[in-house]
Amino acid sequence: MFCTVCGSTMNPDAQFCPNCGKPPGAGPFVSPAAQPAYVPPTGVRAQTGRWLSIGWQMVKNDLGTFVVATLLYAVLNGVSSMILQGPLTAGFMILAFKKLLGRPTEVGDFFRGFNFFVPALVASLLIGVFVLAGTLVCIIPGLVVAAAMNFTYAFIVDKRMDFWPAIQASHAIVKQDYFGFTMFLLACALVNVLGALCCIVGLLVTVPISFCAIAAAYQDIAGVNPATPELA
Amino acid sequence: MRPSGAHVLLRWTPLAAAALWCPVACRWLDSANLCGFRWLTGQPCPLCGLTHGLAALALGRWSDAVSCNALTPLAAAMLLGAPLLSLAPAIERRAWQLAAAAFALFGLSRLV
Repeated sequence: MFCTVCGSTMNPDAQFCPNCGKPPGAGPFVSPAAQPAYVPPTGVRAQTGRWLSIGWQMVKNDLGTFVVATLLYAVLNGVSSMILQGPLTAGFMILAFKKLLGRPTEVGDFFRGFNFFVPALVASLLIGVFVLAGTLVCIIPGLVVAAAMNFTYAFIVDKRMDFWPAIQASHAIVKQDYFGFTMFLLACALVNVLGALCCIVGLLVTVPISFCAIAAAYQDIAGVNPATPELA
Repeated sequence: MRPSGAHVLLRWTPLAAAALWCPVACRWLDSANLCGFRWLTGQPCPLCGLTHGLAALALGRWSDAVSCNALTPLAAAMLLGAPLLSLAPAIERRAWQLAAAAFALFGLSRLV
C-alpha cells in the first residue's frame, strides 16, 4: 500500500509511514501530473464588502495572534523578501483558514507555510514577474494580473497544488469577474493605505484583514478542505 | 446572499478613489513618467494619457481628453457603466473583452 500523504510504499499493517511519519489516510496524495485542472463554480462574483467584513471579524476575534504573525511577516520579509515572501504568505493563509474553520490558532501555524516552500517560492517569483510586466503598461494591467493571481497561495495550501495549476485555478475564478476582483484587490490596498496612515502601526491590523478577506473569498468560492493536514 | 447597501458601496469605493486620484495625479505628478513601457521604449503604451484624459473629460474638455488618449470616452463609459453592467454578467464580460481589444488595437496603431 502507499502513504496517502507522501506516496511512499508502506507496510499494510504499519500505523505510520516510514517516510513522512503520517498515519495511513492522513491526507490525499496527488502527484502534480495527476492533478486534474480545477473547475470553478460558474457565476462567481466578487463580494468585496462581505469578504472584508468577515476579514475584520476574524482579526478582531484573534487580534494578538494576527498582530504577532504580521510582525513576523514584516521582519522576515525584510530579511529576504524574494525568497521568503511566498512561504510566509502561504503561512498567513494557513492561519486564516484555521480561523475560518473555527480551529484554535497559534503563531506557530504561520511557519507551516514552509511545508509548501518550493511551490510558494516559485509562485511568488512568477507572480512578481507577471505583475511587473503588467505594471510596465501604465500600472492598471498589473493590478488586473495581481487580482487574477490572488488565490494562488490559497490553492497551494488548501488543495496542495503545484505553483502553475494554482495560478491557473486562481485565474479560472477571477476571470469570471475581472472588474469585481480588481476592485476587491484595490479595496484591500485602500484598507492598507488607511492602516499606513495610522502611524504605520495600523498595518498590523489591516494586513491580516486583507489576508483574511482573501481567505474568506476563497472559502465562499472554492471551499476550504478541512482534511488538509496543515489545517489540523 | 443578497448584498447589503454597505457591501455594494464598498464594491465601488475603489472606483471612487480612482476617480479622485486622476486630478491629484495630473496636478502633482504631471512631470513624472509612471509608464514603464514609455520609459523603456520611448513609445506610449495603450493606456498612456488616460489619467489626463479622464481628468479633462471630467471638466468637459472633450478635445483635450481625446488628444490625450483617443479612447478616453470609451474608458469613461466603461467605468461609469460598470455598475449597470454588473447586473448582466454575460454582457459585462463581453464588454470588458471588447474594450481590452480596442485598447490593444489602439496601442498597436500608436506604435505604427
